[in-house]
Amino acid sequence: MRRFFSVLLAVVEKDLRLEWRTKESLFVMVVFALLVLTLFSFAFGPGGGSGENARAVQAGILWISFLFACVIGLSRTMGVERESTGFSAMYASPADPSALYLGKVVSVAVLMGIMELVGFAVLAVLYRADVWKSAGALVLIAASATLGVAAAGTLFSAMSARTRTREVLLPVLMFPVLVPVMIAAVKATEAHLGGAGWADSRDWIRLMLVYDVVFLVAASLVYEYILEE
Amino acid sequence: MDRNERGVFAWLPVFTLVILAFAIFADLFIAGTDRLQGPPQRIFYIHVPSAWVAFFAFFLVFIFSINYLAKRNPDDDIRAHACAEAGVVFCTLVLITGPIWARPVWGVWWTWDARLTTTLILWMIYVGYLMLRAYMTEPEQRARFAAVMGIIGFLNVPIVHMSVEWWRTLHPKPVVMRSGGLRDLPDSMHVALWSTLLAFTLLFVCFARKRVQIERLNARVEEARAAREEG
Amino acid sequence: MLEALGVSRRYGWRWALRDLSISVSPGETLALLGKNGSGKTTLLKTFTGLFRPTEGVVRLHGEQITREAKGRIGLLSHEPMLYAGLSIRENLVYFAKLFGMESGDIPARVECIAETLGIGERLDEPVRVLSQGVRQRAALARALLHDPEIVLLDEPYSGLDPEAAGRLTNVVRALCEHRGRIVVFTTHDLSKAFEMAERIAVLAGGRLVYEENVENSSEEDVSASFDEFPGGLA
Repeated sequence: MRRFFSVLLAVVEKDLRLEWRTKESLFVMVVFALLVLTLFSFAFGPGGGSGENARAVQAGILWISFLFACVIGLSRTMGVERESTGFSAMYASPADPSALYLGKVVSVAVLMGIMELVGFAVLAVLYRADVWKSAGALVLIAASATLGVAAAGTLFSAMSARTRTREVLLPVLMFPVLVPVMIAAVKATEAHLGGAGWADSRDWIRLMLVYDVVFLVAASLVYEYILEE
Repeated sequence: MDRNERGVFAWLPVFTLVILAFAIFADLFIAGTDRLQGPPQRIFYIHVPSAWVAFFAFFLVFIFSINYLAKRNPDDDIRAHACAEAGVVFCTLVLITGPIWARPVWGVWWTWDARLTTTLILWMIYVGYLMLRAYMTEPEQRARFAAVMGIIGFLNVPIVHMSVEWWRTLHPKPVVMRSGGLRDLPDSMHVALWSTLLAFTLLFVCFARKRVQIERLNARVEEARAAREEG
Repeated sequence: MLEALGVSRRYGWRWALRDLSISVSPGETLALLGKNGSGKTTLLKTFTGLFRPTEGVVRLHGEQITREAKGRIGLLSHEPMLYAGLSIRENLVYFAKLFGMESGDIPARVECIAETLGIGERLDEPVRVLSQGVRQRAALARALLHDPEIVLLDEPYSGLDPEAAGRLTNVVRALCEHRGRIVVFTTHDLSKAFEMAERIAVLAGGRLVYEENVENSSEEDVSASFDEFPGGLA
């Protein structure tokens, strides 16, 4: 067990250190998310339109932009693994593949978390959304959604990074599988931005947590077949 | 193994055609016309069995994928591939017949009905599965990655369905859903439904078996070609 | 004892290894020769447990190679297996953790292995800026870091200047002679093979075509074995 966590932490440390050196993915992720957030406001009108529907549109825009931005981050981090034959190096070691997988999930989730902080701040400014009122709930929602996206993203990007077309395939594999997380994250965020609160969001958060657990367990078990050369 | 089909399987295509012919006859002439929906309701006999067969096919992909990872028998990979392809065909049929039925009955081509939406997501997952296979060249790696996709994709189905169902029920439903259920169907409709289901299941088995045979031959061709290149 | 029994490995639609059986005893050094594409690298990776043989079995001391057993194997591959953005030290510390070494022992061990390979002063330079020779030694340090019982080296001398090659020769000698290791390395250099190894094996078209102890062999014999398979060696 101690070894499991030592491997997991080693992967997180390595990924974050590589990212800290270059700041390549994080920078692109944040800028990309901002871009999408801005572009959507051209599509739906300032502030995501008017009236009742505005909160729903804002929640949707927010999560779509996060999802798109996350594809870039994943492609980058798995691209580094591919270039340095990290997959084989990991598979040649006695380290538990589940620990290697979960380490990667954590580091992807950390990057996404930082990007989301900026995203929510921008939402508050550009779309005048009342983010502070329900900050606690939004953090919980973002955390459970991010875990799900990182869990699926890590598994599928490890696959797509080694196909002929490289990263092109990632969204095609990842987005359909992430439909439940996207629906739940948007609905729960909408509930809190609009003021309906926990009554409407509780079940969605539960759904995401179930998804997270199912996906993390299943993917941990099969990750070894992805590492194999 | 590839050529000599013995016993039941040799006659399977013929048998399937007979059942299929009967099923089409039953769908069009035996089953009574629905009082409320009129003739368009008959597409239900194609729509529902296709959906069942598609789900069954994806379940088989899941089983063969697990088997492949456990035993590494290339045949399991070929079988999973064949089932996924045939499954996507039937899934496409569901997505085509759905709107054709919905247009005259509901007045719109597409509604985000929970079951139809789940089927759409399912279709996307397995098209992704086939694309993943198409973009990979190394057979063993392709088999492993595809198996992972076949397992994860299938595990997702219940969660996708649950989320879509909730998503829809939190909104007012645009039209009243199909009422009743199977028990309310008159006998003549039962004949049509079940005979079509049997016909489609057999058709699926024929498709999948043929696909497996073709894939085995392909593998032999590729191997022979590689051997010749080596001299 | 490390042994391959009837191992075949399909790569793509080609057979990279075909019904190959070979074994190496503790303390022994085996040189694998053969042209490019003869299956040398595939055999080394199969020994490492990176590849599952399509047929046949690889055994270490009579047992199949499990995940735990990988901790006793060190592979120096053609591929970098180092992160270009990290320094040598960071790379080594990372892999030491993957190999389950005690975190207290890691810094000293990293220093020690780097000293032995003559890259002690370069430890904190990022791998990206290193010359091919230093990078090769860093990769070797990664392979030997966890003090493996089985050392598999894929063309260890490529990119090394004579001085570094000499140093490497000494390291490998020390590994074999003092600790009863199993060392398998591939090379294109016949004289290096005779200098370093106790046994020579030649692969062609994924098959073992020649295997002999160094005492009973000569460079002429080995060269002859190359020429016997003009088609298969391509």
